[in-house]
Amino acid sequence: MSALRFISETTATSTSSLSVTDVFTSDFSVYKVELIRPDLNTGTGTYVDFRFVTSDGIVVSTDYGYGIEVMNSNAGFGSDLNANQGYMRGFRYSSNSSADGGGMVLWIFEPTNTSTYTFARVQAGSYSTAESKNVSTKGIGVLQTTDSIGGINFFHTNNFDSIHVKVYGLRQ
Amino acid sequence: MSNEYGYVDVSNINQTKQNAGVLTVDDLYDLQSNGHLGGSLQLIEEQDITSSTSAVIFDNLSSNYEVHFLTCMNVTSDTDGSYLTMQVSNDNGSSYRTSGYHYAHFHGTGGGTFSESRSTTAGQFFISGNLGTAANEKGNTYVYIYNLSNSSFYTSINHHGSDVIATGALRFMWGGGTYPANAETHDAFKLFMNSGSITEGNFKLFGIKEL
Amino acid sequence: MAGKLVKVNSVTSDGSATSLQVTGINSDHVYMAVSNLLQTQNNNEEIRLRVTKGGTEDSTSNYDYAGRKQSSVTFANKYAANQTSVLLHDNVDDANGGGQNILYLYNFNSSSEFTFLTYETVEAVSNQEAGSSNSACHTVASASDGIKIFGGSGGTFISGANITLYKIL
Repeated sequence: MSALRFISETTATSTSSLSVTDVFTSDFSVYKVELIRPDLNTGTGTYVDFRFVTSDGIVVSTDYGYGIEVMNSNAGFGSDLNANQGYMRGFRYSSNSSADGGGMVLWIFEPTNTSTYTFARVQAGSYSTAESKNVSTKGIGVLQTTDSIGGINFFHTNNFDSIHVKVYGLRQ
Repeated sequence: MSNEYGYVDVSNINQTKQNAGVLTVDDLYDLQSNGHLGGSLQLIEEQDITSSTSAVIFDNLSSNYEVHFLTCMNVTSDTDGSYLTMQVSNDNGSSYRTSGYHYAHFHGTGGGTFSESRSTTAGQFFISGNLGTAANEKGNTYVYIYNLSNSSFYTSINHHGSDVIATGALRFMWGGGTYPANAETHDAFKLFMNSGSITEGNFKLFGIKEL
Repeated sequence: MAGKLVKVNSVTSDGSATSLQVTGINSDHVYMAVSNLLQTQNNNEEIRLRVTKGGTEDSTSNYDYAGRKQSSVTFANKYAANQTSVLLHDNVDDANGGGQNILYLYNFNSSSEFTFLTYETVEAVSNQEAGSSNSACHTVASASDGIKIFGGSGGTFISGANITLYKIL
């Protein structure tokens, strides 16, 4: 039996926020999450951000910190780093052209452990038709609370025309 | 597919006779072949190169996967300073796209030489450092490939590798790229050195499945 | 028949382990290792890695590594050559979960090649959130059969600290 176990697949259209809930449990300590070709309704040069979800809802407190490298195919590289935020980021979505596609792979560690923070490793790649460039990101994020996390929320100030998320558990 | 199992594609158990609930070898093969059994990382094809090869080709790729995972291990070249690269095809390998690639990646060595590399007009994706021909100057990497088989989206990649390059130094390289010239189905891709040939290497392509 | 990520071995600290070691690499496959809860009683402890050969750690000065430190407050290059171990996590807090990582292991089984790995980390640090994206090489052409992770200051891993090794078939 494979150690990578499929848990759920969620798609949505015409929404500014997608929560995938009840996917992180005590069954696993490590999860793999794929965000596949999010398609924004409008917007250029922005990020698809994410937050975690508890039984009480989306964690919106300013307890997230993150640091990601931003690699542009047409210009000098940059970084996006912040502490004490209400979200993490990892997918720099740069335009609303539906062909831009792209994807992100996140590894989530210890989401349900109430003695630890919840940790994330992020890498993503996409294209921006509006800006004529590929943007790749790679980095980290941490929710600095010991909440028991059961899910993940992806959101953007502009609507997603479509968004697609898959969750896998890693058997240890 | 046989529905004798009664546990697939139905909400209620379709059991009309008593059975021991044991699946035969044929049952298992049938289920796995149709993607209803097994794990989430599915091997599509492995190629083990042991002699000079101009290109490692993965073709006849189906549209079953939205995310592919490629591993390249012990990549060896016959040309000093050559890079492992990748091109996509929309006609099952009859031809390959040779221009219009974007990429961006970081690299750095154990000796402290760090740099950014980027292009908006490349002829291919670069997924390794400048490998060498001396002993142990090898390349290793993994690559995530997004939307390869989707006709409506550009193909994008992320990669992260560990190489000993032609100077003898350890070098990391990670980043990504997109082929934005056409939103099209890519049913094949090839891996090749931008100069010279691959003389050794193990290449495996996986699909990440909802299973 | 099965999916292609197969667990090979796993080790978990019972609260008294000063190192975690997994072996079982015995084929020419790419392997993956995942670690979580790499936390000791020492604040700001470095977490380090060595390869094992025949089940014994190799502590010779033959480790090169390079990467980028990524945190919520700063980014920086990290690199070193000819070290006695790989710097896996720069420093981890003595609370809140310590360090977590994903490693891909290449050429371990080859008796004629160097041993390569990539590693991607994230950790709890007392004053920031941090991690790094890196590669490393053990520059000895001989087979390695596993990895050993330990605290740079000899700390004791908390109960539940774990490494699991997988073969990618």
